[in-house]
Amino acid sequence: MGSLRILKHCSSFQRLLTCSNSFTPTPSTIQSRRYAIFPDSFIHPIFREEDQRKLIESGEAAKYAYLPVKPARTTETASVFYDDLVDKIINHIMRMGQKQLARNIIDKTIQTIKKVQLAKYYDTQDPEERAKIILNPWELLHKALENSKPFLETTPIKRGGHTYQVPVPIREKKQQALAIKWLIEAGKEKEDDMRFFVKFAYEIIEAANGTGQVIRRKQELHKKCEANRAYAHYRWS
Amino acid sequence: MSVTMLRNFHLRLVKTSLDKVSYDAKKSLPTRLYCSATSLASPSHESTGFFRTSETNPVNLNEKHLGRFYSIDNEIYQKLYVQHHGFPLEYREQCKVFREQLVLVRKPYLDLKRCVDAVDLKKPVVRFVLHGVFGSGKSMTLGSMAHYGYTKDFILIHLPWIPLWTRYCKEIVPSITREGFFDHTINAVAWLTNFKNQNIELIQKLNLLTSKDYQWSKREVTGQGSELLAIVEHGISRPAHATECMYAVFKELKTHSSEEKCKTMVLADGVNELFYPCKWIKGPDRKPVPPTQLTAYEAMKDLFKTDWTGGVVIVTVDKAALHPDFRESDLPRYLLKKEGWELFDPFVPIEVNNYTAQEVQTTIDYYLERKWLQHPASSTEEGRLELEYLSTRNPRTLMELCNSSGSSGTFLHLPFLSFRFTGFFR
Repeated sequence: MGSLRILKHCSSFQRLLTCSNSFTPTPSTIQSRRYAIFPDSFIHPIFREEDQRKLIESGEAAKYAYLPVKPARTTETASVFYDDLVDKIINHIMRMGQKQLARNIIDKTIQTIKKVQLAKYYDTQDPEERAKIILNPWELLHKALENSKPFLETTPIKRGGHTYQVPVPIREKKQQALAIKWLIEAGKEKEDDMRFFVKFAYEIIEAANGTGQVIRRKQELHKKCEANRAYAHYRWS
Repeated sequence: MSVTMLRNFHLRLVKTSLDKVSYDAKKSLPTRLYCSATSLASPSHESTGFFRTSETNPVNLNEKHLGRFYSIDNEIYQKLYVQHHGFPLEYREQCKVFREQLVLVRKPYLDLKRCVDAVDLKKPVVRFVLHGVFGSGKSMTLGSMAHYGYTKDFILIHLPWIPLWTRYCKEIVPSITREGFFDHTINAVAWLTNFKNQNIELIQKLNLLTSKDYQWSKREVTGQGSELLAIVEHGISRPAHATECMYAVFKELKTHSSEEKCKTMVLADGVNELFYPCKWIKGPDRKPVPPTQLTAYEAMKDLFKTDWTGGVVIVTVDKAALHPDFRESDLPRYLLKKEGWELFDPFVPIEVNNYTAQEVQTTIDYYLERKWLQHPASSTEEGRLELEYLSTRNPRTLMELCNSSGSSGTFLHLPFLSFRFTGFFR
């Protein structure tokens, strides 16, 4: 408690708490150009209330007490409904800076997922079968992303006059980016009379179940890597 | 400033900005609301929460049922609301998902019901004007009155969302009988079909007959003493005459009601549209047609006059019915303009306000029970308070937030933004 009392008088920690935004120890947050004006000594604001509580409870808050803090981004709110992944997907969907449009699309996607799953839920009479249906769209989204992540990809490497497609592992950050990209691309392959958010929703549900074209695409890539395993040593030799 | 201080600050914001009466956000929420989410999450269809009433007859609804949901019978719902936008599109979609039709019993609805009960049908018609901010539930209140009127054996003249006749108008043709006027074809046929659907049993029971001859063209005549439904059916089969038929039906019902052969309830949503020029509706010369040259609008204005008895007129005025240039105020004096004000004066104004804190929590409870709110945080105290705070207790905004549970956790879902971005009643 002593350290907390000291913290109260510390202006930078106050900013840390009052800044309505995100911070991010998570590697997925990419530094935007606007943030380039801040030197490395600035930390991201801790905008989630639960994060702050955890820091205070573990006593780590004192560590951040005297550090300067960057301003939070507009989307990084202290809302209880905030989801890091959804925020990321919005940025992937966004074109020409039309963020509001991207947000609306995601909102409608979530609404569609709920509609589809609830229809399944109410059509099923057996309670055991019902319990298996995942209704939570965020859970489905995280699951779909997890299922769609590839672990290996091929990269062209030139050895002895030949270019070989060499399998290499992918970093976690790129895995997520690829999974999101594939899901969005799958959503765009549709008939003209279907809306993107409807197809996107169906793709998410399928990927969460371990089926669908995104999963197939991942498996094809893995197969290709498997076939080229003989070239794997070119990575380092 | 600590975390709790922040929270208190937010609560104070809610307190000061949302309610003039002293109100403690935390205290006003009974504890039973919080425990309900889990206890009522049983999957069975017939599960009943404390927020429902078993009463399905709108005539019996009273203060006891205030702030609770009453259910509309599926048969009646299909008959009155589905075919022709009787309730807003978003609400109908939700009903499809939830597989039941529940309407919240609110104060303006009960007030209106009591007023309609008290009306002396031997005196000239009383006009009720519902007004309120965008998304506060005017259309829902009006729609619920259709159920009440149906139960009380009123003949319904239900004109849901008048901008459908201009903004989303399908086709207009020059009038055959009135010089310089234009008739709707597809819209009028759709309305007549809906009218027939809603009232066919009652009209047949009352055996209403036409009071004079109607000459539609050289060879097509509906003679005096034939059934009222003959006019309706003629309009449905001849789209070119449909608007004239509509006008004739209005006139007939006015005379019949004045002669105490039947009771008529006129329900019109977004009535201020009648008095504003609409640039979306164009004649053959590609110039906008003024509202004074539309036969359908003249017919509607004729209904709202006080030259008849034996009925009630309930209308709403709505900012969203107008072009964005004319959305400065929500009050009837501004929205009706001088012309509309003179037509409706004197009227009974009924204000439809945003939800109370209790109503917000009841709605959230209902969504939780129907498994519509899926975010784990939405059943917590913080989640509930956030939804209440973000929606500013506006029913429509609350519905939009609950559709996605604030997936992006934004403050951008404000009413003035949402009705520009989302299609309204399309």
